[in-house]
Amino acid sequence: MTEASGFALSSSLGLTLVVIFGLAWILFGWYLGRANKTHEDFALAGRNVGFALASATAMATWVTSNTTLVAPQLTYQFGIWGMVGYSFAALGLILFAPLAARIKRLMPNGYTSGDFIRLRYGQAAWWAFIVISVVYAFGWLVSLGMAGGILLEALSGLDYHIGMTAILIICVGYTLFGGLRAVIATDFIQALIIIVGVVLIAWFLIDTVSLESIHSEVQTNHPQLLDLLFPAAIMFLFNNIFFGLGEIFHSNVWWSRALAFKGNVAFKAYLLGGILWLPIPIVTGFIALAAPQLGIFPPSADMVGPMVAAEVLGKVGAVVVFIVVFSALASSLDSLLAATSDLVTRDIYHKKLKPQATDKHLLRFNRYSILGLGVLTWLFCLPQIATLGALLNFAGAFVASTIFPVVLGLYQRRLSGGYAALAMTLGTLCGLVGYFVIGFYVAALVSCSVSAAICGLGLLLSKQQFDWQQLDEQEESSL
Amino acid sequence: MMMGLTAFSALVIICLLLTACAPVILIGLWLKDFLSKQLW
Amino acid sequence: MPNRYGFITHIALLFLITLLARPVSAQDTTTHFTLTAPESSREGYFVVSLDQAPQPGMVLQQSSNPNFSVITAEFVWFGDFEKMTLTGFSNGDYYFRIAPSAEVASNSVAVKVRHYPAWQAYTLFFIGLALFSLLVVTIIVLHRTRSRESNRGPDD
Repeated sequence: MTEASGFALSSSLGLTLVVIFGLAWILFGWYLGRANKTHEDFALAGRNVGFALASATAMATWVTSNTTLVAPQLTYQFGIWGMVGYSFAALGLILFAPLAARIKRLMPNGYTSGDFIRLRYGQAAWWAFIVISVVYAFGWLVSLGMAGGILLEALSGLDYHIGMTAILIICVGYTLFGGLRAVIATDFIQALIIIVGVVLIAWFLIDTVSLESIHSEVQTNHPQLLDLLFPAAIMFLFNNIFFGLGEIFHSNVWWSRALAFKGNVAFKAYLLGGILWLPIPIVTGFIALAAPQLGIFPPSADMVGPMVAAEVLGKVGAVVVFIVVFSALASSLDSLLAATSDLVTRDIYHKKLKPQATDKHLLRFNRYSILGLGVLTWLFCLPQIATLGALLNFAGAFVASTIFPVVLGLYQRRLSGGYAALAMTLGTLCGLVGYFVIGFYVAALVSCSVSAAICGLGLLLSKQQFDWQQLDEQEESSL
Repeated sequence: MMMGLTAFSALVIICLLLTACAPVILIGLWLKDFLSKQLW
Repeated sequence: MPNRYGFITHIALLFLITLLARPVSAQDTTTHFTLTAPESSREGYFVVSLDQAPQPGMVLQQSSNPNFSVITAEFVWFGDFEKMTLTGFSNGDYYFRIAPSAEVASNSVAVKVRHYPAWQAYTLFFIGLALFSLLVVTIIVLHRTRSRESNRGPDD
């Protein structure tokens, strides 16, 4: 890595920003964590999160490296459809709103999405679900860690390994101290930082290079980007939507939030979070369309957003981009760490290995698993294996198979565990076959279609009448 | 050509304005929760 | 020993030749870059790569024919990256090379852009739309039914 002068920030400034933000978040996490007495406090923030924090956390967690790096990337590759299509991912949050309300009603004492699958569908489905969850959570964790390293290197020339290590230490640090409470509170502040930063960048861009000139340059030299009938973009559209739906519907990141929100807040919070999120990819995406005019042709498409912003705003822009992307990464990384460690603690440790564990014991184990996950993620991030996009598309085959089993499981008594397990397993396998045989743009679509077909069959053939009361599992050990 | 430009500009400007409203909404809600002690 | 003197003279002359040759090759300062690009693209975007770090102000030329009789576009190589992602191409054959000058030269590469056929795109689009509509209707109908049930009392 040569320390060329082409970087927007000096490595020392980059490192200073990381250290300042890191210390601030960790202190804040420690401050919030003082109130945590029980495992329930730590894992679910006392199940009493109000509307404001709930909406902000729903929005901020969904604003990830995807929105700040991949939305410009897709716009650069697929033009108008790239950004509009990406903003449809808000549908995931909006459609989860009724589900969240239902989850809260059916499982007032539940902890994780794994709890639901185990109680509703039994062991076989639980195993399929845990494999899917772990593959997805890990893929996402690693891609976020790598994105942190790549971002720092692209903007300041700081070595990839330093940046990646720094962001992991920071997020593990404050999640460890503060639990979900810290995650949600930092999400609120991170949400504000992200939105203000994104608006600033877009505003300056429009001010410097007008919308007219961006449009005419793209129209003359890159006409395909404005084509509303762009074949590849039309093909990917629903695949992306199903990928997003699968991510939200199955992941404990969203389930633990639904369970942590106060009474009837869940529905409103997810709905508002989704609506607030909807315009953001268009604002971050359109930035990429200014690239050709500014003479920016990035080495890889996922770097186009930060590069344009840094070019237009100079050093200030680079600092703003740095803070925005760093916040976006942190707001997802912390949520994922918290939710995955809950899954490990609750579903694997408590329910499979140590049913007699005391509450104090669980709290301690939860902290260890956050630390363990952090170390494991760090190890996987070391070699910088794949690009972000490649890693994420693969996961589409896994998560999209859970959409119908989760929805029907929450609302329909008839679907039995066997069919749910089959739907998730076969859906995932067919999605993977589609991914390798046809292309990455059908992975989620094939997976969801197959799983939906099996669920349909299950509804016709199975005769069970599930008793909803079974979902409200009473805790003996946590009392 | 002109239609395309108008639609493009409208889309970007509207989304920018909507995004700019979000912090106001979030801070407003936070204040409301904070004052009524409903934050957590 | 005339033979030996002759041999030495030959060696000396050979050395002289190499000495003469060195300044000539040093005068040839043109850097040869090797460009690589994918043969075809189905999405209208692709990455063009260099085998070494670019020189400042280097220009990538684009043409629609292999002998570059008409240059359709020029891209100034951005930053000191060895890769460049180009985007927004319609169907067609495109040729690229580094604009030849006293300092730089390169091979030329060809990229075929063939977008997916419309039938394939629309088929996937409508399958997706149908499945998505099914999901939305399922959620709305079931949520309403269950909410009504639980408002009435224990749901059954």
